[in-house]
Amino acid sequence: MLEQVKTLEQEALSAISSVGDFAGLENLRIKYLGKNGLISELAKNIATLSPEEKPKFGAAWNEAKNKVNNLLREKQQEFSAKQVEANLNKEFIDITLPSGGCKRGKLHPITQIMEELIEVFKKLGFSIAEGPDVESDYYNFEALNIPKHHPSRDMWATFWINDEKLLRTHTSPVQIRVMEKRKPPLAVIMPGRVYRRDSDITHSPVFHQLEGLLVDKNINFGHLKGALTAFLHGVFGANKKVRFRPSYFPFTEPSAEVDVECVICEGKGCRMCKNTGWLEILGSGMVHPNVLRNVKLDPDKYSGFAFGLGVERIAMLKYGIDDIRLFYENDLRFLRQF
Amino acid sequence: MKIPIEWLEDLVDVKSKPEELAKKLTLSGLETNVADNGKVLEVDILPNRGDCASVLGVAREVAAVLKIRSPKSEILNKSKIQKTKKITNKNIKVEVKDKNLCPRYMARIIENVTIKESPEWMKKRLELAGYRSINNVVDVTNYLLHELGQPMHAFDADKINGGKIVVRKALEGETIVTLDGVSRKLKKEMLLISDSTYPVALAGVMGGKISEVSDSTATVFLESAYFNPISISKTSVATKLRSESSSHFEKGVDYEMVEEALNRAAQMIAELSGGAVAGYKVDIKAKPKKKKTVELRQARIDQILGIHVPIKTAQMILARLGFKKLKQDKNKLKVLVPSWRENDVEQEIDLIEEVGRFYGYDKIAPNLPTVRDYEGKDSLSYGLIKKARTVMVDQGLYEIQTYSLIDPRHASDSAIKVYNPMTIEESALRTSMLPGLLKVISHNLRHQVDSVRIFEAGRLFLPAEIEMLAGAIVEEGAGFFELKAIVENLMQELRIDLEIQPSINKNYVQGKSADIISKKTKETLGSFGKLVPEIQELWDIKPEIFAFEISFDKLLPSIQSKIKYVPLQKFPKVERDLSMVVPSGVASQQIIDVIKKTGGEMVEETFLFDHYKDSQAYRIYFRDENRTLTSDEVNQNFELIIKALGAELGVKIRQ
Repeated sequence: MLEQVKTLEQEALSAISSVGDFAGLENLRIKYLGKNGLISELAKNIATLSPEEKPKFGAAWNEAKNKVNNLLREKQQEFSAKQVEANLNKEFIDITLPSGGCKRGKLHPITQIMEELIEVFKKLGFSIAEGPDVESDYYNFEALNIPKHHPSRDMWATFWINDEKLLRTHTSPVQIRVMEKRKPPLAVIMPGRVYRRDSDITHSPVFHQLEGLLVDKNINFGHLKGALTAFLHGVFGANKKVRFRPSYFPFTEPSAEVDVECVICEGKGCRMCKNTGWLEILGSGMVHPNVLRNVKLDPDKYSGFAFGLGVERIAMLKYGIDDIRLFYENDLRFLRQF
Repeated sequence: MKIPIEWLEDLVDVKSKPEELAKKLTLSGLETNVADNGKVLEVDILPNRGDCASVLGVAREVAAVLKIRSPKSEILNKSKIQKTKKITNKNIKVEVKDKNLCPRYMARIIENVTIKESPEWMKKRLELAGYRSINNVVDVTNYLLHELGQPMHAFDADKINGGKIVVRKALEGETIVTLDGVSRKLKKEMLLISDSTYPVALAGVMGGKISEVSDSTATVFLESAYFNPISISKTSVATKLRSESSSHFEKGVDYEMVEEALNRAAQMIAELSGGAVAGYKVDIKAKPKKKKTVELRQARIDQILGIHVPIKTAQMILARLGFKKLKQDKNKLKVLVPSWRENDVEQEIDLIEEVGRFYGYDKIAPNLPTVRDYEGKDSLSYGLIKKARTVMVDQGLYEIQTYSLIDPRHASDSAIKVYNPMTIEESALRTSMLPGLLKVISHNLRHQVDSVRIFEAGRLFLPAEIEMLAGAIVEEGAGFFELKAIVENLMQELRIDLEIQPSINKNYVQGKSADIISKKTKETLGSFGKLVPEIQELWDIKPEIFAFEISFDKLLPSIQSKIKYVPLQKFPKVERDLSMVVPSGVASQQIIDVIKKTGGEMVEETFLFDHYKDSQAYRIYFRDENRTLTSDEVNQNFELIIKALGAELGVKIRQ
């Protein structure tokens, strides 16, 4: 009986190895290990064996059963895998074919930059205020310490509507409007369209500015530097050098122009930065006491800083655009690039 | 302004290389570049620092930056007149009628001059500074204007009628022929220099042609004055005449320099022309000017700059700039404002700026402020517009930005017009978003961009400023329903309940357009549809244009801001489909309304799910909140609906 077990084992293993499909496999399983299978049957005669032969036979029989089961399982897995592969192959498609169209549109690059700039200030705790495009001489100039007939008015080429109304030349008038409505502490940014009588490759009669104002007790120039440095790092990268240069605006004193290390040449000097290695980004300064007095704030009690930047300019620097008029031409081949 | 370095050296020891000096000046507030191969410093004069608009002014800044003395003493000595002759036959009487507009008027006479070319050294300096050399007398005035910042004017004394000079306001309509040969009509507020008969100069702006120095001039009447800055500015703007002189006077010149410059000029003219300075001298002043003093507090310096700068340091900085110390203790400093800074230094903050810029902005450490503004809220329209933009982008539209200034032909008659536009095509504030959209469509089609899907969020000026959202689609296969989807998506995102009605807006084709009505406020929020062919023709756009215009201002009150959760239904719904043939003239909304009205509470929802020509198929969901409906109940209700549709709308149900 021992030889029978061993013979059957070989036979079964050989048959299973060469079987071709699930059905054949199942047949073999039934033939050898089914209720009346050939190997199963053998165990029924174990009673006829002597006590010395029984354990030998038992061991051999178990071994045979296990070997056959293992091979059956292996083959089953093999067939399963082949089946899955066959199924997948039926599903094959050319994945490089076009998807049916990129259906989303895009925000205008000016909007994109504006939102990016606004985000940086929102993180610092500023909220957003807006003001009208059509302004009065008072809000656009006089309240900002720019009296009538003052030579500093030359700094802004103005579009006039009549003797008292004009198109705002900067977003600064909104500072006055905010301060008239609310008392400090104030942290506000003011985006918007502004208008200047100037048109060439880097100047547009209509363009966008972002203005900011922080007024509280004990705000000083160090805070101005802190906030604006954080802003410029947020926009251009934390590794870019920033410098503050004394300048003049009628509505701030001390005033500063803020430069960032040229993003094109990294400070070495190029056409974009006129070989200085620096790009002028922001105008800023401590709010002038006259301006605070105009909105009925005591300059000895309150102080603050204000700043402004041209959004188109930043977009042009960031994206390498050389003609401002492209923003307003709205050619889709241009708009798609951002 | 061009400052030849070799000239600058006359007044201050320029110790550094031009590039280094330029950098130092720039970092302390005077933006400077090196030009003409290192021979010239090009300086940007800030509007409040008229005192820098001269070689002397720049020299003072250089001295302050380099911490040395300026001007050099040699130059100061040149202002002293050497031996004047007794007056012989020239005596011109000067009267200043308006001392407010002319607080100081000075004059000297130089006799026996010979007009000829200026010496080479002077011509060279003038050329580098950007001036044209004219003759030895006029050149001296230009030379000293550039060197000292004091404008002066030389008259031919023999051409002055009646031996009289009057400084007065013009009479309305008076005329003068200026140096450029143009006859100008004057207004009564303008300040004039006049002789006994005619105006001889437009004070501070330009001299007159008749009395100008010419080759035959033998006696020079030299004027040096302080004119009221606002008066000069107004005159300059009104006559559209700008000169180096007016530019200096507008910013306010140095009251003390009026005399120093005059003396120096008279001396130079005498030397260069072989003449002699006469004993004649005029100095007419308004009531004596009070010296300006300003106090500077230690606490305030620290508070504004954010760094402790000891009063002693501040005093040294200010002294170098010419501010003489009057009183000083640990907490306070009182200084005398030098005459050349009287125009821009008014109060304590002006001194703090001087201290700050020379102490060095770079020494102040950046310090992120604690923002304590908790009341600040974003403007409502900002958030709304931002959301709307996102929905538009999701719908496949590209955002455009067009000018607010448009051609008046495309704006309403009552549009706000700009008084001084750059071009007529950009002279009216827009009253509709359509012209901007159409211009962009036209541009893109002409550049072979065939599919144009755009939107703009911008302001209209009606004249009230209102925010609008408008867009357009020009694309093969695009139609009304694409716009409807965009509008519905937008309204859903903004939580606005709307209904649509045929549009009454004349820009849109009747029958292919709709007005959007807010269910909450009953207001018309906007319109959308196909634009009329007239618009296509006007803009030369061949394909059909589908557009929409929505008012943001009207959207805000329509927003359903309260969201309340409705519990999910526990009991199952029963579904029934209804196919029908719809007679023409019956709108889908009418069918839905009948189904809902007839079906009552049991009809949870109904919608069109298929249609082809006049066949339509609707799905109806029946459901009761509190129990499972029986099929009998549903069938009964369904039959009622079918009957009602037939009776009320003449619809033919297909089995």
